Amino acid sequence: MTRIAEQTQNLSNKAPGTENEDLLLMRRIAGKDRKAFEELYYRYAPRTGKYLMKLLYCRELVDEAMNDVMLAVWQNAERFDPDLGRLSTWLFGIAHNKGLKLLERQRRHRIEDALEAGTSRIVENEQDESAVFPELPDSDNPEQTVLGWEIGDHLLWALEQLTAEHRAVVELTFAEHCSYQEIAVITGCPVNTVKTRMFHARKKLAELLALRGYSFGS
Amino acid sequence: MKNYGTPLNTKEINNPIASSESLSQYPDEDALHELSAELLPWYVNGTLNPAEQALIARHLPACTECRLALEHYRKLGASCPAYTDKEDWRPAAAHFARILQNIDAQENKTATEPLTSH
Repeated sequence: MTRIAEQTQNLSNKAPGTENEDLLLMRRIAGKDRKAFEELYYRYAPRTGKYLMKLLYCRELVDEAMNDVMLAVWQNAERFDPDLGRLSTWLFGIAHNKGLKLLERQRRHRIEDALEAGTSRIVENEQDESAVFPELPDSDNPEQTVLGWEIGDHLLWALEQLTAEHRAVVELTFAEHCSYQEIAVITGCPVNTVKTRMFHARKKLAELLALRGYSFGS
Repeated sequence: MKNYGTPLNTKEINNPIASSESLSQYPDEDALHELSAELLPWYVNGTLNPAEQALIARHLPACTECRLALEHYRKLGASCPAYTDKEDWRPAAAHFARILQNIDAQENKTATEPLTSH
């Protein structure tokens, strides 16, 4: 492990490679080259990890999800087909899938824990997120508008209230600058579902902001 | 990220906006509004193809509703980078070492599992 530690600094500065470099890297990984596997980790884990943080909100869970992602990459590297999309899209697809599975596992554990504790209040639906997330203080001004950074926290709070599926579409669009076709590939949904999720995400965000006395503005 | 040149389903294959030559064949304002409302987020992030981009640019001056939605998506787009940086996760040598341990454990398990006949 000493060698890995020594290389960390250099590798972590590397940006994602060109498509040709990515393909060569994946071929080496398919041949069980651990050095190539390590290179892929430091090239792509920053972006996929960041995306998973937005889905999971917990570093420990992201660690776990990234373990699952990297294991899947190691075991399925030969399945990567550059004709179907870029390596980053393929990796985001795996990360999205593993992240949602972890969320589902967490939800089931919460229900089991609640049942074991004999509590009647079970957070069964992630839509009931007012029970999970702390509330911000109410705004003094009911007509305030989300115009800039000074009240950006309200929009961030509203984003956290969305379901993971809706948040994923928003994040992939505005943080990762994915096309709707790429999002369809990553999330494993038809393009029309991607568009519908975005529509509902915006509607929900507007409703949530209105609850706090804010609006997107006009 | 790039746009895919290959359509993903038959609806897209039949979509008239797939070609810029069909731009003038999209006169129905209601259909254009519906299309614009759907694609505005990707108009904002700049990943639409030129024909889609042009259709929306043509529709926006005439539609208050879409201009309002555009403003919403622009604000959402401006907020997402801050949201991204709010909580961070970074790769680490210790984490990668655990990944390798996990792989070793999986491979050892596979190697020691008795073969079963089906």
